[in-house]
Amino acid sequence: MVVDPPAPPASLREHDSRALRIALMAMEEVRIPLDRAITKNGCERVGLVLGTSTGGLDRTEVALEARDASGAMPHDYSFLSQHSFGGLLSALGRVAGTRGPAYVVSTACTSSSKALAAALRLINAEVCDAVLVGGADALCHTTLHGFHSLGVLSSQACRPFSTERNGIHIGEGAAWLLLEREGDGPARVSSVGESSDAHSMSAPDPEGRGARLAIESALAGAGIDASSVDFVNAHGTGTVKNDQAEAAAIAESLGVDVPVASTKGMTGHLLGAAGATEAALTVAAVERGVIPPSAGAEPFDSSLGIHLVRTARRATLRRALSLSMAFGGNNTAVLVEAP
Amino acid sequence: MTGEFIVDGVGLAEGPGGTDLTLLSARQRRGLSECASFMVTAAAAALEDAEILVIDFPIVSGSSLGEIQTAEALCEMRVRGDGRTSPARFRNSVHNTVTGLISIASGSRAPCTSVAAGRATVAVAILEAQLQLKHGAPRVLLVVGDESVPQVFDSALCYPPVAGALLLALAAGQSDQPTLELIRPVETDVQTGPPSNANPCTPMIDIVSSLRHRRTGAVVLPGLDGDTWKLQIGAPRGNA
Repeated sequence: MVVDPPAPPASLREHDSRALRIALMAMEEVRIPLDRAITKNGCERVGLVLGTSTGGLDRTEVALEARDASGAMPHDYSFLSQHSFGGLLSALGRVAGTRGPAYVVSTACTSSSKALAAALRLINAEVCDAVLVGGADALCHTTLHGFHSLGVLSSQACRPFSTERNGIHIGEGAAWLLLEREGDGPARVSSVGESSDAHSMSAPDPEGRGARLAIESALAGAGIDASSVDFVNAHGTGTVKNDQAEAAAIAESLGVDVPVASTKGMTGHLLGAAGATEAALTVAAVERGVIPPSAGAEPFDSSLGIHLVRTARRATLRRALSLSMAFGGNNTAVLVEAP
Repeated sequence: MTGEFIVDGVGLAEGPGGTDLTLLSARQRRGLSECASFMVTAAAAALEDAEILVIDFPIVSGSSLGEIQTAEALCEMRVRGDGRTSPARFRNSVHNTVTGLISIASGSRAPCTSVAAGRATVAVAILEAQLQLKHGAPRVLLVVGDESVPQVFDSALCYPPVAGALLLALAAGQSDQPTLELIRPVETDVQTGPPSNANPCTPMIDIVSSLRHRRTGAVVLPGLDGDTWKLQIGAPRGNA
């Protein structure tokens, strides 16, 4: 949980929501390279793509509770400015200073990794020279109750790939990445593989066929083979179904020896922000030459047949994949390469 | 912005004309939202128009507010109900509900994406579909729609549901199908789309109508913050 995210500036007060506050906090981290990209390319050539699953829903939940107490929605509640994706996007665009195409991608837990795919397409099609791309989701009662209704919510930190796993643990957060056609960044997002399971709205294909397609698509997009992937940052939510499907997909497409870890044991599941957050963590892994530990994975479920990294270790990482899976059977595989 | 593309099929769902949910299984149809019903109906019409029986290409959906009635129902269940949430409604509350349902029903493992950008939703959904074609997709099914907004949220937003769908392909050589080109930014003195309290997907009515009647010309699309896009509808390039 993000502690006390500051209120937005007065000019954006009508857009105020917890999601906006968290997204603005994270945007400060990319302010310097973003300003440099805008100066270099012009604001019209810099796009903005945000992945989110709930947008300003947290603000609406508070407003409905206030209505039940007072009989009317709060006077400072604005549905379009605070709840809607468009309102959130508009406020973020004003702070970012970008004037290129701007949109939200919302595909549940793959939202911000799909946003990376969209951003890459904007650059490759020469619509943009740079794109600020990220994800943001705030904690909401609706999602907590929803996952509880599905029987997959854990009351403790999630433990992906452990025999003692007992479900997902929802967090909140935001992450931004600046993609540029030319630049001196710490890594390159060279390809994003995408696919669908065609199986279920809320459960992964048990054989991981959709996830495997996404991995294979990412490799094909970059023209590389499976043996050149040095690390996989798994979706790893901590449910039995996810672990089994994802492990099957990884083992089938990349082999059983590639090092795998899930960072959700440390961050929780950030839902629409998970893809961008985990892509950023994968960039950090490649830049620093460190494979992060899969926290909470002991005792490891060895029946999964993957090489799980349980303690951090140094490694030369030339290429790494960050995987995401979502409601609707939506899958992505983000390929991060050393520059 | 990224060149021309052609339209192989169009579909529209508006007014009380009924819905066509034959794309979905009987189980999927139960409890389907207004938003999903209209978008699936429009998608089915576009596929039929193009005589497409098998979906093996990406689907892009655009919706400003998505499953907003379901979101309101889930919130009210918690605030005013017994605190429990319907798992079935929660599963179908995501913005990509429609694309997920269609891909499951059709058995397609091709990518699905769902986008939004307020009043610019139609423009950016067309852009995203066009980018996927440039990226190598042979075809893209684009479906854009919004349902009516629960009055508790904003009583000024009193519009009926609308959905439109286009089956798109890259323009290559001669074709007997009309072409589209998305242009931005555009300086114009003309009215930039529907009023701010109208359904954000209203421009799809003009687009689909123009394509059905083979009218060429420009459809002006509103942007997110006062900027403007233009969709240029062109005549076929020649007989295929």
